[in-house]
Amino acid sequence: MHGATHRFEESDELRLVIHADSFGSAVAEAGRALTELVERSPMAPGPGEEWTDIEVRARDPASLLVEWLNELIFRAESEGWIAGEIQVAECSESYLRVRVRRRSWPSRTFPVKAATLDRAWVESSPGRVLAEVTLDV
Amino acid sequence: MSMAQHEYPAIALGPWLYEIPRSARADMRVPARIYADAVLWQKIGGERSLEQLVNVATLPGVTGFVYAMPDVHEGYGFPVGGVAAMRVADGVISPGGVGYDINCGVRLLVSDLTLPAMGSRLEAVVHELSRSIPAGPGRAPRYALDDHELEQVLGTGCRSLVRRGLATEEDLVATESGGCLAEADPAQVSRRARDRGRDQLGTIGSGNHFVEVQVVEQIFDAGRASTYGLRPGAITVLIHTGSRGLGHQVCTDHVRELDVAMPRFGFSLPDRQLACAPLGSPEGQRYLAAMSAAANFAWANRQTITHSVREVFRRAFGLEGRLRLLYDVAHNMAKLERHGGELLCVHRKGATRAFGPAAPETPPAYRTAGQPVFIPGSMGTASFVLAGTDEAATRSFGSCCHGAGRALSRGAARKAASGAETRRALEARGIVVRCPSNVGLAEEAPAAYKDVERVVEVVHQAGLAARVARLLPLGVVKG
Repeated sequence: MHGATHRFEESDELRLVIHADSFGSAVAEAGRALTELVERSPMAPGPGEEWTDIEVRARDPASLLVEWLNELIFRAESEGWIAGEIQVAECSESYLRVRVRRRSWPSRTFPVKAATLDRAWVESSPGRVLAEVTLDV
Repeated sequence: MSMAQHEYPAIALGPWLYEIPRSARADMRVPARIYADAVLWQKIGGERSLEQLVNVATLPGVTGFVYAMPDVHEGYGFPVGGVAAMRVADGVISPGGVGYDINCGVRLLVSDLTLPAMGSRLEAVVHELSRSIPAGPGRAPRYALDDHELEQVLGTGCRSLVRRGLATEEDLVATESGGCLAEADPAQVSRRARDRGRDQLGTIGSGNHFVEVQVVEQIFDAGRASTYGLRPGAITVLIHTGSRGLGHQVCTDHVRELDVAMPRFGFSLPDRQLACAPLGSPEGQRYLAAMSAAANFAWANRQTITHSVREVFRRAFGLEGRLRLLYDVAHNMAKLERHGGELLCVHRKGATRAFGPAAPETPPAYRTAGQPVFIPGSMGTASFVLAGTDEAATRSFGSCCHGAGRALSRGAARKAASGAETRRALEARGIVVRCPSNVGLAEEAPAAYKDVERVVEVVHQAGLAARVARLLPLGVVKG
């Protein structure tokens, strides 16, 4: 059971909407949402393999979330793996260190091209985080 | 007509042009002008593109007017179908004003073949095209580039392909800017962008990108058509794609850099995706150099696909299958151009450069007609050849539309008709379809787009470009 949920809203592009109990949970949920998009495709990703650490820096939570997603998109396209399990090891408003268990994705045909800053926002209150990011598909 | 449907007050300046005055919002630096007829104007009112256009009108150094073409629709930060020019002296450059697919563009190949000569071989030809040109978000190991080759492509664009036998000198002349932007500096393209692009040369990609076999169905302007070598019944091939993952990564890299730098520049922007830098700043120069290199990659991509198409036609038809490049023109780019004697950085996002006969950039062979412009329709509908006009220089910084423009979201398009239904409908009209994804097919169905005929009519009537010929699809390879 995660402390977060997500849904996709479709307009011209794809908008990811996340409800979470903390920013760290929102980060993990965003990564799982990207993996879900791959799982919808006919070719299933491989099983979990070794763990990798990913560090991301940005100037605020919204751009940090965008950067995190862009990191995963890059790894899928260029290194051929997507995120299986996700553990947020460190999380501030401008820094993330995330442990990710890789799942091989040899086709490298990732359905998302980029996460954008277009209307990207994160709203936090005690025990509650709302976040939205637009994905270029 | 009533302007109440729009958030901003607008004045109808004529049947094809609306203006949102500078007074509409306190932070606007210039007015916004929208080319549309009454029907398109109503549709534009239903989404965020006008608000985005007004946001663009707030950017530092913006001059004249910001423009929306009749196919305008919502983009990231900057609307698709938007044009804005910034003074080089005190203006900015914005990756959002170019878009993720840097130098997405269109080229048209013209053959001496006619429809009867194509005859029963159409399906086999389209099938061979689909086997030769990777489509979808995939890669093409056939043209994978080593470090040196990639450096050459980024630095010199199509010219680097002449040595490899993938392009001719005639191809370079028939390509905007000769298929190479001199501002390119490969050193400004990140390792990540190179990794994403190195084995994507010669690939179509996904979304609305395609290679289409067509026939010239109607000539509207016999003089210009003759100059372009177009005649009724001739077989043509339209190629629509861009800089693939490499361009996306360049945009991502520089939006990130500029977003971080914004507080230092002291700019207050209404939308973070409009992150920008003064053109003269190191950040602005780095983006211009990287964007130009990505643009060179895109031209080389379309050229490599051209080589693949030519191989298929040569195998199928021998010498008769020769394909001449009529022209290649971009519709996602920021370029340094002189307008009214002033050096400007013209951002065209989902807008096509449309220079007239008097422009020095128009190739000598087209000096009597104007630069060729291609407006692809949606899959299954007509595409158009137009000619740039000298009037467009003062009406839109020498720009016109780039396509039909989306009318339905991808989700709504999927609900309207399945991919299988779309495929059957196209095949029932005799159009051969090769697309690896039924979902992709549904998202790009004709009903998902505005009426391209109406969009082209507005462009023609407004004097932004002159209608020359209509092309009908025969077969399409889609990503």
